[in-house]
This record gives sequence, C-alpha cells and structure tokens, in this order.
Amino acid sequence: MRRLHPRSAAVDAAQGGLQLGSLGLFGGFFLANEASVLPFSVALLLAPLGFLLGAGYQVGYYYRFSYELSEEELLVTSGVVGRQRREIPLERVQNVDVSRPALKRALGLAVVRFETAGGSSTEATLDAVDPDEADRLQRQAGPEARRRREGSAGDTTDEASDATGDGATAPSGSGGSAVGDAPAANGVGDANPGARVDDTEVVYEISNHELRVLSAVSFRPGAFAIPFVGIPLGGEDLVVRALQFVGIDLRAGLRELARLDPTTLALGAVALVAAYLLAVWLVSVVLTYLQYYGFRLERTGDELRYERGLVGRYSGTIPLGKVQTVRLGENVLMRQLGYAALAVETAGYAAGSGGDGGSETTVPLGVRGDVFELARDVLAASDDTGRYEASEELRGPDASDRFADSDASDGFADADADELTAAETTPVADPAFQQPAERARSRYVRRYLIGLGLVCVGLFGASRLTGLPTAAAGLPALVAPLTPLAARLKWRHRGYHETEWSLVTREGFWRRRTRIVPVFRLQTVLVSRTIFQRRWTLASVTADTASSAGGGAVVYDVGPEQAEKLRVSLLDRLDNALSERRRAARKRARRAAAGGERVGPSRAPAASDEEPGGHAETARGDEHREPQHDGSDAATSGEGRANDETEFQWVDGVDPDGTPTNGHHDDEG
Amino acid sequence: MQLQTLHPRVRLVWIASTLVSAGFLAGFGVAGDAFGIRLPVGPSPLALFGGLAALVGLMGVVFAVLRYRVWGYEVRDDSLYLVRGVLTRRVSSVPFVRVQHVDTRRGPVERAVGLASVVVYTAGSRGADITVPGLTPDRATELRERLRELAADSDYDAV
Repeated sequence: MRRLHPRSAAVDAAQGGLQLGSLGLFGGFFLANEASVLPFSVALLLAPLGFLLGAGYQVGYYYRFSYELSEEELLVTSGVVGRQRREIPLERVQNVDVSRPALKRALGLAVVRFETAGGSSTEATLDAVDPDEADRLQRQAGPEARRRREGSAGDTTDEASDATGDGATAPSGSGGSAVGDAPAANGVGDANPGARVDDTEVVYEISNHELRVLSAVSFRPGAFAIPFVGIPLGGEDLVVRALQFVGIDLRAGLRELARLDPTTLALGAVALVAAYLLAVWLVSVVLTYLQYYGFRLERTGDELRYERGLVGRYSGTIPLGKVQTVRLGENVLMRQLGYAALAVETAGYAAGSGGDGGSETTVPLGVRGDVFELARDVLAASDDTGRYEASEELRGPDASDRFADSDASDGFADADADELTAAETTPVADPAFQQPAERARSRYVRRYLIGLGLVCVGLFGASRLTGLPTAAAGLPALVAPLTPLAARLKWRHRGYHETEWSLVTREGFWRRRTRIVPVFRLQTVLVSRTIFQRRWTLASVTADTASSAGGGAVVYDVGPEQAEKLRVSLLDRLDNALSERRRAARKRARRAAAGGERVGPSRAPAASDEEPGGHAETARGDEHREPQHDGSDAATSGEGRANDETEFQWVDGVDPDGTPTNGHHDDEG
Repeated sequence: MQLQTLHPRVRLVWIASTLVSAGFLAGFGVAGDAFGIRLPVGPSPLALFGGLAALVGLMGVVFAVLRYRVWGYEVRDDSLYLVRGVLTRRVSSVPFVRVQHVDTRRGPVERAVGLASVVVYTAGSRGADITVPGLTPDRATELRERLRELAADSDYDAV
C-alpha cells in the first residue's frame, strides 16, 4: 500500500490547523468578550487547541489514507473515523486526470483523479502525490492496463475467464504474460517520459501562432464577471474616473444622470460598454493563453492523453473505447478563419468537476480539415466492431462554409467543390444538413420580437421607478428589424444529419457546436413538443447518451411526423448496432473459448463485460456509492445471464416501434 | 400491447402534492395576518397569499386532470415507450438494453390511496430516471419484474 506525498500532508496539516485555529481564535474572542461565557484565559487556549485539532485531523487523514494500484484495480482505503475501502476495477475507469495547479506545482505535487461512469462525483482523488507517481498511475491505469487486457484476449488466454471476475486464478495467469509484454508496467524508469511507452505518438501540438489566434478569438463567458471582481480592488476608482472623463459624475447619482443631455449620456454609455468589453476580452485572452499554453495531445494505443497549462499543468486521459460523443466547436470568428475545436465527451465526469463541463477539449484550435480528420479517427477508434466508415457525415459542416476550400490538403476538398458553389448560390441550402422546418424561422422571429417586447416593457417599468427618460424604453425596438436576420442565422445553423452509424446535430450561430453521436451509444430517445412548438406543429428530438457533458444531441423543430420517424429509426439502428456488437463479442468469446481455456459455466458471452461500454451496474452510481465491488458487479451480470442461451427476444430487423403513435397527442396541439 | 393509462386515483396523488405547496402559501398568509404584517401597497397578506394558494390549488387540479389524460406507457418489444407532459408533450423511448435498474416506490400519499410507482434508471444524462406513477402495487411489481427480465435479457451495453 502506498501513501500520499508527505509534503502534501504537511501542507494540508498547516492549512487545516490554520483554519480551525483561526476559528478557535475568533470564537474564543467572541465567547470571552461579546458573550462573556468563558474566562479570557480559557478562550485564549481555543486557538492552539483548534490548530492542533485541525492539523491533527489532517495528519491522521494522511496516515489513514492508502492506495494501491494493482493490475486489475485501484484500491483506496481512507477515513479517519469512518473507514472506507473502495475498489475500482481499472476497466471501469473512464478518465485519469492529473492536475498540478500553481501552488501544488511549486511544491512538486500533483493531484490524481480517477473518474468512472457511476456516481455524482469523482470516484477517487489522490491529493496529492509526487508528479512521477502521478504519471505512473495515469499510465498504468490507462493504456497499460488496457493493453494487458487486450493482450490476454489476443493470445487466447481467454478474455472470458478474465471477465468472470472469479478472482485470483485467472488474472494471475494473464498477468504473467502481461508483465512480459509491458515491462514498463512496474514502473522501473519512471522519470524519463520519453522512454516509457513505445507507441506514443503526438497527434496534435498547439503552435505559437495557433495559441495566439485561439486566445484572440475564444470567448469565455466567465470573463464577463471578472471586471467586476476587479472593482473592489481599486478598480472602482478607475471606473469612476473614466466616467468623469466622458462627463458623467457617478457620485452625483442617478438623478444627476437623468439630467444630463442625451448625447453625453449616449456617448458615456457607449464608452463604458466598449471599455467593459475590452476588459472582458483582455481577461479572456490572458485566461485562454494560460489555460492552453503548451497544449499537446498524444495517442497511446487506444487512449488519448492531453497536457496543457502555463502556470498550472493539467493532463488527462480519454480512452477511445469510451467516447460517447464527439463535439466540434467553431465560434463565428473561428469559422471565418477556417479553424475548429474538438471536444470528446465521455461518461466520466461529474458535471463541472473536470474539463470543460464534462467533456475534454482534445483540440482547442486547429485547421478545420485536420480537426475533422482527427474527429473521424476518434470515432473510428471508438467502435471496436470496426463498422465506422469514414462516411460523409463530417462533410456537412465543411461544405456549408465559405472557407472550406482553404484546407485543400484534406481528402474531401474536391468533393466539396460542387457543393460549395451550390451553397454559395443558394446560401440556405446545405447539402448534408437538414435544417429545421421552414416555419421554424417564423417562430424564431416571433420569439425574438416577444423577447424584445418584454425588454421594452421592463425598461418602461424601470424608467417609471428611476428617473430615466421614458424614451429609453423604446431603444430595444430599434433592433427589431434585425430579428429576421437573427432568426435566419439561428435556423440556418441548426440542423441534423443521419448516417447509418451516427446522428449528427448542429446548433448555434455564435458558437456553433456539431455533435456526432454514435448510434450504439444512445441511451434514450425523446420527442418533445412545448406548447409553443405545438402551435407551429413542430417537435424536437433529443438523442441522449451517457455523456456526462449532459444535454444530449438535439434535433430542433422538425415536423412531428419527421420527429417520429427519426425516433423510430434511431431506435432501430441502435438495435442493429447492438446486435452487431453482441455478435462480435460472442465471436470473440467463442474464439477465446476455442483456445482451450475454461469459460465460466453458462456465461459464454461474458466477454461483454470486457467491452468498453459494458457497465452492468456501475453507471448509475448515486444509489451505490461504491458500486464497483467485483462481487456486486458479477451478481448483476450473472443474474442477467441466467437464460443465456435463449435467443434475445428481439431479433434484428423487427421494427421495434412499428405502431404509429401520433394520433394520441396530435388532436391536442 | 396498447398504450396503458395510469390508475385514475393518481390524480389524487398529484393534487395532494400541489395542495401541500398551496397549504404553505396559505400558511404564510395566515402567519402574516397573525403578526399583523402589512405590505406598503396592495392587499393584505391573507388575501394575497390566500389568493395565490387558491390559484396554485386550482392549477394543480387542472394540471392533474390534464396530466392524467396525457400520460400513457407501453412495454414494447425492445423499449419502454412513454407519453407525458401537459405543457411540453414528451414521448420517450427507453431501450431495455439501457435500463440500469428498476425500483418500485410508494410514497406516503401513494400508500394512502393504494398506488405505487416504478422508477426506471438509465445511465443517460438527461431524464436518467423515469418514473411511471399511478400503478396499483400489483401492477407495479409486475411491471418492475417484466422490465427487469427484459433488461436482463438484453444486458449488454449499459453505457
């Protein structure tokens, strides 16, 4: 069993001690002076007592925390008072993240986080270990463990027996061979990053130029708040002076403001907004630069690993077999410059705990053609049945863009040429993507107008309460002529595209996101119609996956019949894709069984446990805070396998949802 | 299998749940009145909150009736099919392969009127838990067992 880094224990102890100590200090003063419950001399003791308690707890935590990474699982034992022992099978691990924020980095520490699909928070956090150790963990839990599993399947040491999870015997057999083919597994020469894994290739590395472009064009919503954060730190003065400069004395108050002549007021407002936006942009530039400095994406076997950061260093792994959705992002500036970003969504992250709200940026900015190429590679690698064909699904987003021809280097530039001219002459037509129904555009116009109207009403109310001129309430109405354009842009950038293998959806003008959802990853399909949509006889289809980025891919505002058709066809194709995967898994299992190794009785397709997506029990972990015990896992899957040999009730090709279901609700629209 | 409707008494469960919030509102009004609080403008707190409570209660009844009319579910060959939603009509399909586990649940009000719910969990990110309310306990158990069997049959890729 290993311990965390002692230095981290010392830091935590100091921190915990100071926290409780200061609490004791202030609490003691309060009790002695204000409340006069305690004599002063006793109260004075509270501070050191608090310090000792806080520090002691942390020291205890350090001594009671241990972890062990074996070939099959990560075992973490922790807890000062209540003890907790958690076993995480490595094949269930979705991502392994190593973060070294500035302070930890200065102290030579790294925090390792193991994410699984289950649970509402990170499954295991090692805070903190030595950076080399973090590296070892990341490597050993990821590509090396996977290669070992594959290796044992490959040389017919029988995946199935492995997956039955009957403990010590089978794994030790395969383990022996594993040590053979992956000598680095036992962490001999950890210090040298180059030497450890032989087949690591750098897939992407941000260039200085790209980093500068990225910083300039990326737009961080969070940056909006930051100028306000600066205000208490003396920024206030600056704002007031700036306003005075353009003739507004903020100290004179709002009344005064109302008495100013309109031109000064308007100029002041414009200047203020401009200054604010500039500040937001600068903050955004700096943050982006710091975040993505030295971004680098490598591929080791079937795993991607990124590294980034100037002040703090962050890295994370993305097993390709666990990719739920691939998301391409292009904001309006990136589109103009011919760049795109790529994010990969897995089931691993608790919302907001890591990455970009549940997904990992795999390419922050790259030439669009290259990014699409990589997206295709990722998708192809994510399906182990090899059914993914480099179909035209990604051509759509390319073809509709003006600068598609700038990346002539990529393979499909020629094919685009015709479509491109078509797209230019009839800008609405997008050959691959199917836009929302025509009438949705009118709906958007109406929606924007109603929104503007509400803002007007709000301003009118405000002008009554404050001294603002009533005419200001009419200002938003000036934007009204732009609503058709906005509606058109919204409409045009929304759309979907169906292929045999996936569903591609797209939305957003300012930040366009194209999501590619492999059909075999679908969880549920939802057709929804709000009362407003029913008024226009429109419906939206949500294809939900287990991706922890949330949201699912949404096909907006299509006709109800089309929505229903899409729902049925998605379920159909899910069915087909799963049968195919099942067949492939069975074939693998049979081949393994033919290899002469014993297979668990009545559990022939047990190899499915080995599948990347093969969570039988753990994916919904809220109910089971420790769902990963071998035993419970085997129990559920075992239950399911009781009638193994009976053919699955639903056979390929049978229309699963044949009955049309419209009648039920249409009459109420 | 036809689209199944819920048990009519489920309306009572829904109404009861809105009555609780309406009761809270009314409570505010009564309390405000008892302490003699007056708003600078407008009606007395009792009238204001009483009115709100009545409105919420009424809406609750109307919605319960409408929701009951809309709700339907069907166990199809390979998926659980649900229609629900008053303002936003939602039609969802939950393939059995994706079912993680199935619970039956009986809240206090449900027990009082002799009903139960079945909760179907998936690993999905949106609407991951799907509740089928308004089932008699027998029917709930039966549905749960059926779903469990179907899910187990197709146990392959849950995520």
